[in-house]
Formats: sequence, structure tokens, C-alpha cells
Amino acid sequence: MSTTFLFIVSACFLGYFLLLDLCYALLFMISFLESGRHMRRVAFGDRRKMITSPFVPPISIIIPAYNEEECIVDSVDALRLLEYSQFEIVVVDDGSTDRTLARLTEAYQLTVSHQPLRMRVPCQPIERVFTSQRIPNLVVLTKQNGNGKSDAVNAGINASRYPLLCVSDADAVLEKDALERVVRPFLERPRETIAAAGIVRIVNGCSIRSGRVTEVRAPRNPLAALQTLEYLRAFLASRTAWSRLGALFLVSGAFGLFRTDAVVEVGGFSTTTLGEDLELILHLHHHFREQRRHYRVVFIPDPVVWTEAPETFAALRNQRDRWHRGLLECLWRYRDMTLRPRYGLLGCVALPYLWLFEVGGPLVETLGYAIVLVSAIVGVLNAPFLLLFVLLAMAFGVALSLSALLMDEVRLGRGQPVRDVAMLACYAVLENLGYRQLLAIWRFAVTVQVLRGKKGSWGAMPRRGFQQD
Amino acid sequence: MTQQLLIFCTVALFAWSFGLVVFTVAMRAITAWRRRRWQRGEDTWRSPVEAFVLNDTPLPASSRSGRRVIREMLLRYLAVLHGEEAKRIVAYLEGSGSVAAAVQQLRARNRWRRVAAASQLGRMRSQLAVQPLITALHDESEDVRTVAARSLAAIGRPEAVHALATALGDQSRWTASRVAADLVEMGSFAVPTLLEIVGGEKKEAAVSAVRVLGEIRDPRAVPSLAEILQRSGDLNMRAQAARALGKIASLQATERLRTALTDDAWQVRAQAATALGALGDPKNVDILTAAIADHSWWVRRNCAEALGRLGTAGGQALLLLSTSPDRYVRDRCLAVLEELEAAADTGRQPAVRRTS
Repeated sequence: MSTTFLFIVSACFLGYFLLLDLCYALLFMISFLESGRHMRRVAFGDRRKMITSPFVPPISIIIPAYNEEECIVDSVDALRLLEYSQFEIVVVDDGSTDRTLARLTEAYQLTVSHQPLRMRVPCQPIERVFTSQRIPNLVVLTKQNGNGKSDAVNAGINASRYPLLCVSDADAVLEKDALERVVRPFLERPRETIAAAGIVRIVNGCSIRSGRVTEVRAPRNPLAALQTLEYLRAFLASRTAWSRLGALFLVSGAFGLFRTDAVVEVGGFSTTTLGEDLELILHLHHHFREQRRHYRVVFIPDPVVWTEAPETFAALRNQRDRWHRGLLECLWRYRDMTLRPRYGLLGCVALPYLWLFEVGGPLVETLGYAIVLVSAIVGVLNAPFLLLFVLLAMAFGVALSLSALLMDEVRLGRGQPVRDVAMLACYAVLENLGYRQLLAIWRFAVTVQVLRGKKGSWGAMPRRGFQQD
Repeated sequence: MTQQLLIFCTVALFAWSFGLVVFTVAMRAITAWRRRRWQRGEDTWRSPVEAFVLNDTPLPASSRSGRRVIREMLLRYLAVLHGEEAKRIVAYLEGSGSVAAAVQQLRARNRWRRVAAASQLGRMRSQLAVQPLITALHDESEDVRTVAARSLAAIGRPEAVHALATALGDQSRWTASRVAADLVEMGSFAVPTLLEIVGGEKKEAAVSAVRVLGEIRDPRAVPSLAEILQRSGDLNMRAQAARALGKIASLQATERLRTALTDDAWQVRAQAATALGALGDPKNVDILTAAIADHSWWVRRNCAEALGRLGTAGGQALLLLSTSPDRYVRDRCLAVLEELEAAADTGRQPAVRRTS
């Protein structure tokens, strides 16, 4: 009896695992082909002409800032040097308790402005609007802290004037050509494109000068190095494919370009979830599909934004808790889209994928560890099968990570030293020995907390600022 | 059986991973080797190529790889040279068969080969490439069409203008927007053809042509644009015409733009307000002051900004409006005055000072 039960359980776990691996493998193959096609087009794109063309749409860059005194001036300086024909920078000081506003005022000679705002999306009252005596395209808003990043971005939307909206973070470093690259889908299909995303990379370990990444290196901190691999897998080996399938469900909050009118139509960013970036994209899909309008949400792999990864377990756990809580909230909010053909591949494939593997994955994995433990105690553990299964899982994880690493080399060629690539390859093996399991247990814990109705918060991540090297 | 399958999969995946590592290392080594080889080739051929470009000293015979290096070096010179030296390089490229080979590649089955060929032909600037590139504007791939248009603009022959202007109506908006930018770069000699397109049947092409005319800023386009502004039934055409007239900034269009401030569509009124500001004529202060009460947000905003561009008279009007009972008008005018003061402080504009 117990042998039959164990056989069925083992078969279920194996089937689940094979299905997951099949999905990953398919996504990787689609991503590889699609990124190749995209990079070829870019190679013949003549960037110089695009930058100077009068026909590229102007962009409002919105930077929400809460206690960012360490990096806010460097961040704005870096944005000012972006290679793009016309853009404005809207910094929203979200009730900082440090010297964020003072730093901006000193650096850019801010003065209070009477500039009226168009309140197109709801947000908490904006206290003051500042313009710069030195830089005509800089606007700074101040508001009381509350409702998180979303509310600050919504305030920025109300002060923006251009048809495209770039949302980023104060601690993110946009590459100088990032805007010019990410705007391409809006030029290719201007009526349909409502959002576009670029790749988010880990800045830890890189050299930064004047708000620009001057030398790409792998992080020295093991946690950050492990996250580098995770980001490569998530962006290069997955989102490119979802974008190709027309089912991209996430434009990262660290860097996304949106059509302003589309964001305004859905009421801006939601202030009632921790996954505001995921919520916005699902909301856009829902809204445009309901209205049967042609639209597309695109990911392209070459516009790069660099962001700082947590280097301590506490900060990492806080970040992952927030992400997973956001995912659960959003999936539940838009549960009516799941398995509904009217939402296309998003509803029939992408959302079930998220439910099954992103939400279900940690549950299955943690359950698996528990069953192994109980089986060992009871004495019915099939050790050879378990060893083989673990080895297979590890082999697939390593293969996928290395494939993403190779894709980065072949397609994007960031020119990392061989030593760093070799180090990341080693981490591709090491991440299977504890790191993945830890993430699964954390996510399992969050799922339990959410089911018990416990609320989460944004928390804070210690910043090192741009002048780290 | 299951266990054997699992073992096979595990071994295969580890082998794949090992293969990837080997491939990455090998690829890096090959790339570095190729780069060194190319550099050696350039070092070898630098003197003969420079002698050819500057003194017309004939280039010695070379191997296939040598010819590639020479061609690439010549193309780099061609990008920055004009006059006799440029003609000499183009003649060499035509004589050596490089142009003919690229023209032939324009008919390749692989679209990336066609794209590469179209790009090369643009860099070669040979007249022999004009007709094949015009044909390539009808290629099935939008990438080929886009690059062919860019190459035609780079060669800059008058016979290409009509084909390019027609391509403004390309079914791909990407291609059309790139063609528009190319036409702007070609400048005034594209104007007569663009005016033909403006009066043509294809709406998308006509709207793009109006935008391009505005960017070229040639006063010859003013009568046609003013006519469109007054008579066109298409809102987009009228708005783009108003915008283009503002870019050209010819006083000839003043009356039509003043009339456009009463257009039914707010988009047209907003563009007309900006255009009147761009004309810089203080006579338009009154009409802009009146239009600032428009019910559309954009029109009010553009009127205030336009007044800010009309010198002292505009500044005085803004000062008066900054005490308006309408809060929006008041704040917008104050914001424009603040901008003017900031510009005056940095020496970008003459001062308009608020007294209170």
C-alpha cells in the first residue's frame, strides 16, 4: 500500500518537474531565436539618426524618490546625459525624511513653481512643484509619504506632459542609449504599442563613474552573483519569449516605457498592491482585451538599466517577500482572466503558468522536502530515486543558467572578463545547493502568511549610492 | 526503465552544460583571433590605401581577405571625404566589382543578406546603386525597405526623391517614419515632390509629408500648408499643417493660423496657438490672450507658452493674466513667467520681471 502511494507521489513530482522543465526549455528556445532577430534589426538600425530624428516621440521620465539622498543627484545627472532628442525628468519626493529635497535644491537651484498640474490619475495631494533655474526639463514634486511607490508615480504622471512615460527608480542607472532603444517598438507600431520593457541588470561589482557603468564585472558578493544569474534567466530566457507570444505579463518597475494615455485610461498605478508593476500590465491587458482593441506589450533585450541587488539575507528576504506577495495579490485580483480564451495566450498559457509554477512551485517544492523527511524517518525512502531526481533537477538548473549566460555572451556581448563568466558558471552549480531551496521556503512562508490574511509592506533596502567603486 | 531514462537525461544535461562552457571559451578565442587578424590586415594595407585615396596611386593586387580589408577601409574614408577623393573611391568600388556584388546580393533569398547589401550600397554612394535600391523599396521585408531608403537618402540623388516620398505611405509605420527622417536630411530639394504627395490620395503619406515639410522649414511649402489648414476635412492633416507652419515660422501664414484658433478641433487650435507663438509677431498677443480662455487644457497651455515667446508685449499680457480669476490661467501664466525669469537669469532670454 505504502509502496504504491510512494510510487504515485514520485510520479506526480516527476511529472510536475518535467512539465516545468519543458516550459523553461521552450521559453528559452523562443527567446534565443527572437533575441537574435531583434539584435540583427538593431545592428542595421543606425542609432545616430534615430537620436537626432525629429520624429521620435518625447518622453517624461518619472523617478519616485523616498530617502534617496545618497544617490538622487547622481541619478538625475545621469538621466540628463541620456542620448535622446527630447525628454523631461519628473522627480517625485515621496515625503522623504532625509535630505533628498535639500540635495536636489542645492544641486539644481530649485524654486517653487506655480505650474498647474493635470490631475489625470488619483494620487495623494501634491504639496509643492519645483522647477530648476539651471535645467529647463527638470520638475520636482513633493508629497506626503503614503501608498508606496505607485502613488508617487501617479503624482509624476499628473505633472508629465509628454505622450510617453518612462518609469524608473532613483537608484537605477539607465544606460545612455536605453531610451533610444526602448522607444523602438513605439516607432515600429505606434498605434498598438502601449508598453515596452528593457532588461534589468545587477550593478553590484561594476565600476560606475558619473552615474554611468564604465566596466561590467560580476558581483563579488555571492548573494548578488546568484541574483545576477536569476535576472539573466528571468529576462533573457523567459520574458523575450513571453513578449514574442504576445503574453508578456510584467514590465519591471525599475525600467518601463508606457504610452501615457493608456496608463491614464486604466487609472494609473494601483496603490493597493505591492506588485504595482505586475498589476499595471495585467490591468492594461484586461482593459484592452475587454474593449477588443489591438495592442501589444513588448520586451526587448538590449535597453539596459542597472540596479543594486540586496547583499544580505534580510534585505533579499524582504525583497522576495514583497515580490511574491505582489504576485499573489495580482493573480487573485485578475483571476477571471485565467483560462479564458478571450485573453489570448496570456489567459490560456501565461497566467496558468504563473499559477502552476510561480505560485505552486514553492508549495510543491516545500511539500517535497517534507515528504522526503517523513519518508526517511518512516524508513520508506527510495534513496537511489531521490538522488537521481535531485541530480536531474540540478543538471537542468545548471543547463538553463549556463544557456542564459551564453545567450548573454552571444546576443548582447557585454564584454565581461572570462574570469567573471567562469565565476558565474560556478555559481550556476552552487545555486542549486541551498539558495534555490531557501527561496522556495521563503515564498512558501509568504503564501501561508497571505492565506492567513497578514499584510505586507515595502520595507527598506540599504543603499550604497552610485560612487561605489 | 524510468531510472535509465532519468540517468540519460541527467548525463545529457550535464554534457550540454559542459558543451556550453567549451563553446563560450572557443567563441571568445575565435573572436579575439579574428580581431587580431583584421588588425594585421589593416596595418598591412594602411599605407597603400592612403596613397590611393590621397594621390591616386594604384592599389596592388590582393587576396580575397585583403580586398575585404581594403573595401572596409575605403568605406570608412568615404564616410568623411567629399570631392575628388570620394569620387576616386566610388570609382574604385565600382571598378572592383564591389557595387555589382552588393547589387546582386539585393536579390538574395535571405533577408538579412539583402539588408546587409542595401546598407553597403548606401555606404558606397554609387549612382549605379540608385535604381536597384529604388526597386528594393518594394521588398517584402520592412527591414530591407527601411535600409534601402536610408541608403538612397545617403546617396542623395534627385531621381530617388520621388521613390522615397512615395515610401512615406509604406504599410510599415517603422519604415515610413525612417523614410520621413531621411527626407528631412535630404532637405529643400525634396520639397516639390513632397508637395505632390501632400495633394495625393494616400492619407498616411500625405500626413507624413506635411510633417516632413515642417521639419525641412522651406517657405515654398507655406501656401500649400495654409491651404490644407483652411480646407482639409481631415483633423490630423489640419493639426499637422498648423504645426508645420509654426516650424517654418513664416509671417505669410499669420491670418490662416489666427483663423485656425477657432477651429472645431482642439488639436488644431492647440497647434495653431503654438505656431502663432513661433511666429514671434507681437500683433498676435490679443488673439492669444482671448484664446487662453479656451475650454481645452492643451489650447490654454499652448496659448500661455506662445505668449511667453512674444517678447515684451507677450510678457505684459502674461502679467495681466497672472491676476486672472481663473485659477488655471493664473497659475499657467505665472509658471511661464517663472520660466522666462529663469531663462533671463541664465542669459537665455531677455527679462520680463514681475513687479509683485
